[in-house]
Amino acid sequence: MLFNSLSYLIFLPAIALVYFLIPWQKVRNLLLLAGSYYFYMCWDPRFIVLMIGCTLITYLDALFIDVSRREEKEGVPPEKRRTGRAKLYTAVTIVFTLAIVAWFKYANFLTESLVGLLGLVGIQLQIPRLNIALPVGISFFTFQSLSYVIDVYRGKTACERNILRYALFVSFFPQLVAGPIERSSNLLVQFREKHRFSAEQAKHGAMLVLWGFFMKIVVADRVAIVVDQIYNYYASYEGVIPILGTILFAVQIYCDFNGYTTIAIGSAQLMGFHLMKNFEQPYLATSVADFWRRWHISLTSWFRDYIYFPLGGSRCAPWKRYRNIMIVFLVSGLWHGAAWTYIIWGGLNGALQIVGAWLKPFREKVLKKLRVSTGSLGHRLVQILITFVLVDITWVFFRAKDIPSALHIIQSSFTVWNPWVLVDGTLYTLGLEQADFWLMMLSILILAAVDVLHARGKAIWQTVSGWPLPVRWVLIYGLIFWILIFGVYGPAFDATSFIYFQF
Amino acid sequence: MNKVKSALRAIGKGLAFVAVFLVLGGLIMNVMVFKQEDGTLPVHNYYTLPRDTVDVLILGTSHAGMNVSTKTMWDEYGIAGYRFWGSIQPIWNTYYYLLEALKYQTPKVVVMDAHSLTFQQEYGTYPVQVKNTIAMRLSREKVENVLASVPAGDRAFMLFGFPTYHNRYSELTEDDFLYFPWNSHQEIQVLSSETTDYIYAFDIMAPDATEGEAELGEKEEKYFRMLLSYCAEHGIPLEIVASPYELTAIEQQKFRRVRSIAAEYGVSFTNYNDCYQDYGIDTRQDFLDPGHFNKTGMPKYARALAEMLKSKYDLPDRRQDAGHIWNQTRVQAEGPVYALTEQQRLDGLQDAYDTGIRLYENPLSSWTLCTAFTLPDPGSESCTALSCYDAEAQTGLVVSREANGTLIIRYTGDMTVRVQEPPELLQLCIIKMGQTIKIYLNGELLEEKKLDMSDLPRHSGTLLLGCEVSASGRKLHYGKTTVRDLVIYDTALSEPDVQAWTPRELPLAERTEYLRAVTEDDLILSLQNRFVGDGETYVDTGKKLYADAESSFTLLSRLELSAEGGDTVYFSCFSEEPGAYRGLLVRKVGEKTLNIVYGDGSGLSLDVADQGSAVLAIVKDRSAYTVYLDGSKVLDQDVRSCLPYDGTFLIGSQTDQNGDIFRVSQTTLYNLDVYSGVMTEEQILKWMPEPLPEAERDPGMDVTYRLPIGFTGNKKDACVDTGLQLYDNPAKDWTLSFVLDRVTVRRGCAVSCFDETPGKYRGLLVRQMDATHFSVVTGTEYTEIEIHPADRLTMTIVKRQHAYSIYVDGVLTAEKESRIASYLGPMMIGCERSQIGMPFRFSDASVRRLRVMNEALTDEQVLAMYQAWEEEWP
Repeated sequence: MLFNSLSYLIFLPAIALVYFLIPWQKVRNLLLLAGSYYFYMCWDPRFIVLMIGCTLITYLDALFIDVSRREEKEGVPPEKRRTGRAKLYTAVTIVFTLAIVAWFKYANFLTESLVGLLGLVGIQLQIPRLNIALPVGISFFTFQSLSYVIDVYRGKTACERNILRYALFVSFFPQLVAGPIERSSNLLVQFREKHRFSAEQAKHGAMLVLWGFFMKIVVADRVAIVVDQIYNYYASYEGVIPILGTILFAVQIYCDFNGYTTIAIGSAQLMGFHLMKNFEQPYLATSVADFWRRWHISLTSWFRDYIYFPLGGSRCAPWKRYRNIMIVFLVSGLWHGAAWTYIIWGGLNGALQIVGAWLKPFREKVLKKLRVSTGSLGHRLVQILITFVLVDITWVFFRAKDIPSALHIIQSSFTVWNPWVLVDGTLYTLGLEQADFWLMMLSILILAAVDVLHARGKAIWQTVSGWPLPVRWVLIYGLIFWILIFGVYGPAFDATSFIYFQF
Repeated sequence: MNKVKSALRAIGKGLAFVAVFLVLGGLIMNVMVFKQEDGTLPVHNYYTLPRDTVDVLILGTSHAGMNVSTKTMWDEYGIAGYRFWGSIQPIWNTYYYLLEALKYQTPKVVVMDAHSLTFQQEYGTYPVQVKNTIAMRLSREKVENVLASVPAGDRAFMLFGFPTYHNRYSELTEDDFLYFPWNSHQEIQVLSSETTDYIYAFDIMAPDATEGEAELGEKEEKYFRMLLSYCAEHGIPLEIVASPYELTAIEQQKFRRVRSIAAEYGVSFTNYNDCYQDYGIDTRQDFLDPGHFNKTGMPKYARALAEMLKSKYDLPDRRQDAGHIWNQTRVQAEGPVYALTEQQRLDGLQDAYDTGIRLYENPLSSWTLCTAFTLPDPGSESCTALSCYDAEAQTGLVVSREANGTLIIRYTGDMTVRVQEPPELLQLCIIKMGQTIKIYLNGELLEEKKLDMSDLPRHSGTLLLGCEVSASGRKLHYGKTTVRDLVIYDTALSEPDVQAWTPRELPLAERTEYLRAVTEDDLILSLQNRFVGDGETYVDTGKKLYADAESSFTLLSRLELSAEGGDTVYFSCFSEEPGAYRGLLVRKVGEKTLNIVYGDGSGLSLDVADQGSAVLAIVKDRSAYTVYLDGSKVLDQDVRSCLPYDGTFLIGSQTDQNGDIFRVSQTTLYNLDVYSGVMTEEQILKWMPEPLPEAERDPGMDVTYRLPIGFTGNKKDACVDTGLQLYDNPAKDWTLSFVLDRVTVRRGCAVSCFDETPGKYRGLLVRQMDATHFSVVTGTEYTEIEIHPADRLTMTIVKRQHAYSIYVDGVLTAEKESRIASYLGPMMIGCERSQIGMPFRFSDASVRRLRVMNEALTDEQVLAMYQAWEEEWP
């Protein structure tokens, strides 16, 4: 069940309504669990087994870890303990979870890479391609349950004994298939609380859902038409057009993913749950490192807590810090997809941060000499622009179908000068007619304006809610009808999946 | 208490929000929803009809919707029929449409076309599903209709409808804003195809071409039986019919099965494929495609159905019911199909006004004509006030006054009404209802007659005011009259309506524009040097004289006629498209004959054997041509309007049917001026310029190209393809020099010979950016040139191997060097060439003079040429 489907528009209010009609918390959680499982089974009912399996194993592991920790604390001698060592259970969870992800997501990639590698040294191998369907959202719920087990092992979170609550934590439908990857310390505890209906909260949640729809079906899906045209036929375009395609892809992936996250946060909020923020105006970042503090925050912080810090983090020798950054971003690239383009994308992001850190003293010296005020608006704008350009270049590898095509796009972007294609009508041959093209630009402008306001600390919805009712309603109706009329949906279009589902 | 209050307030606000949302949503849906006349509109408009106004409900596919003229049924029988149909409608949609329709009307009989019973399918295509479901109001029937018609997956979309049409925002037209709840659409249905006169000829297989029955599709039979059972159970009279079409053998067999099943329920089935000839239906004349009637076929089929229904059911003549919605809305809603906007004062000499209305194109059609006019002045012969007459078949309408003062209204053949001593101001109304004609003069009925079919042959002449047309198409019997008002309704009005008709006060048509004297400002083309053809050279002026076929122009020329040799073309703007010859072509055929082909391909040949040269003037006044040769009028004819022609005006050649140049001739044209608008005869006769000198040959220079006449772009489609390749050898030397005028106001490309292939951009490109800046690309080098504001500018570009020198008004301004690969495209004036070789980026540059020389001139030579040109400039 896609968020941008009619079924979800019926499912969400129905489940929210029944949720608040039920007076007992346990039954409410049961309803949410049943709803979440139904939501997940709408894609492929077979994979519910995988999710339940993953839930059971991580639940039991956490339980054993907890018991074993307590026995260790109580000084029970090893021969009298009911369980094994906590470390062992944690290891089992990590191996099991990663094995699931590896099998479903990386089996073909690993075998093909191996065959390619052996081919380079003259060994020819024929391994048939495995026909494995990728369960939706596997990278999200496995990472979420993994973080829970590690947190229990580290003693950062209490072990959840109620399996119903834990199963709901793993499968909570708003964030099940594309995040945010929640921590037990934030989400799990909320299933223990009783949520009362709040009209303000519900309104805010509904507005977030609406805004998410705007980002997804008005902006992202419309931009996708142009991006697909340019990237699928990249050999036909050069100069400004591939540059435009790449800039638009930056818009597309942001609106697509943030659109999903916003709908997820809004959906949860309708029922009184608060999910973590996943984006913070990433394209207003002033460095690549800053960009990653603002983009997919739940994943970046996951990698930070469970890979970067254990490797030593930044409190070590510079070369070790750089190594740690590189490892995190290569893994991040691989997490995003089983292809070398993603690994290069991750590597480039890591490399840009390392180069950025390495050049920092030099940059500061130059700025000092030029007497540039580092806090000035002009300086910030230049930083934002440079960061956007760098991030955008890395997006080429993320979007291109393979490395040669990515290199072709970059090469043709920088070797041909043809800015007149922006005014000679070429823009209207990229899949959108003139009216649609300018509608896309206007929608992007609206989005950018809202983001800039957010960045300046003016939360748009809080501001709007202070306005007189007629003005507020006009805005809300405007947004609703803008989505209904200009959204890319319906039988004339195929409902487009969210990009991050595949990860 | 406060809590309850605030809760109630919140609920109230929520309900108000939803209510406003629903109202706004409803209005937006009214705008966005498809307005298909073959799907959604028949249903949408049906809901707006008052209850119990439909006596015959017609159901089915387009064979019901596009073949049965309810207008004819109403006009000729007073039957109130409504086509509640959808394109390629499957029988399950028909079934639910019946259920839906019966909620709002109580028809005396339901007529269903059986065409859909020949289908065999689970679901129709997506457009068919949309057309046959979304317009129904939300109800149990609609839900069931969607379930039956639409595969799972799209059902929710189809039920709500909006997702299927929300993306129409970029295709909305004025019509989309006419379907709000307060707009009524209660008129008799008239489809756009009902005026189609396109003919598709075919044969319908004989009734005994096949034998036996063929099984219907499973789903088709199921719903057919459901429909029959429903009608039987509810006592609804049902007639099943099949309109004639190009049916197949299996369809003929399926119709036999339909007959058998219908008989089981006591319902009759009339298959008009077996008996269409009995109703005068001609498969060679009456169809526009294999399944649908054209405008002559529709009334015949409607009459056949009406006769059958009248004979079986007690159908009242609803025309007698003044309160019936169609009596109320018909005239007001449709209004006249034609209404004069200005009084026409016609001079009785050569003025005539063509209304463009063809009254007799469908001899059985119904119409009403009401007019007020002054009695034409008596002359030596009869003079006509208005006519729509076919002189060859001697049929149609002529209203004229004879020399003895009698007003004659000839309404067909030799049937006439004569009025002795008529008043000066006449108010004439003619009602034609099928074969019946009624004539009212000043409110009194003069004549009522039912005509035989033989008195009503079809003809396509238009209604003319102030004259009639002879068998050869020449206008004659001009009448001096003022037509004060004229309205024509596409329906037969009632007697009270025509008696109540009063002419409107219309302004008098100003005919000054028509007679406005043409001035020098109207000059659109002027030859600057004598054109001397050499069998290879011709001039493409870039002017499209026939882009608007209704335009007017005056062409004045002095031709050499004495040249010996064969056929030769002086000038042309002529399409050789087979079957659609049109435009203007002036040529000499053999040694004696000057041949002029004009308009729709009409021709005029003049013997010019003994003449050395002649002044030829051609005046095109919309579709009328007047030709003068040496001051004598040799032609004055109004021809049929021709289609527009996009080709340009060529001197010394013409184009063939593919648009390629041919017949490049060896002829001399001494002078040529073309003005937009119609010159007066006086002006034409005054035009006697001295023969232009031959083009100056630029002594001492090897000129390879010379622009024969000045060029002015129109930013739309005018340009000159010189055919000259500047970069076929990228190392060759050349000099390009040209004079631009009106530099202060013109913009865009002046000259180009530039490859636009992405990544290979190269060549020569001279563009004017603003009043004081030019951009010049030489090879791949870009130069921006600033000039002093001036109205005229001479630019010279000298290419010496790969080095370029750019001179402005004789002064060296920039030097560049650029090596490029060869480019075989031609030099263009006034536009660039796209990467696929099509002219684009048209400018409004005004290039007065242009030369290309096959050598690199020196600084001194460039300056000398500039000075020489400046001296010559007037």
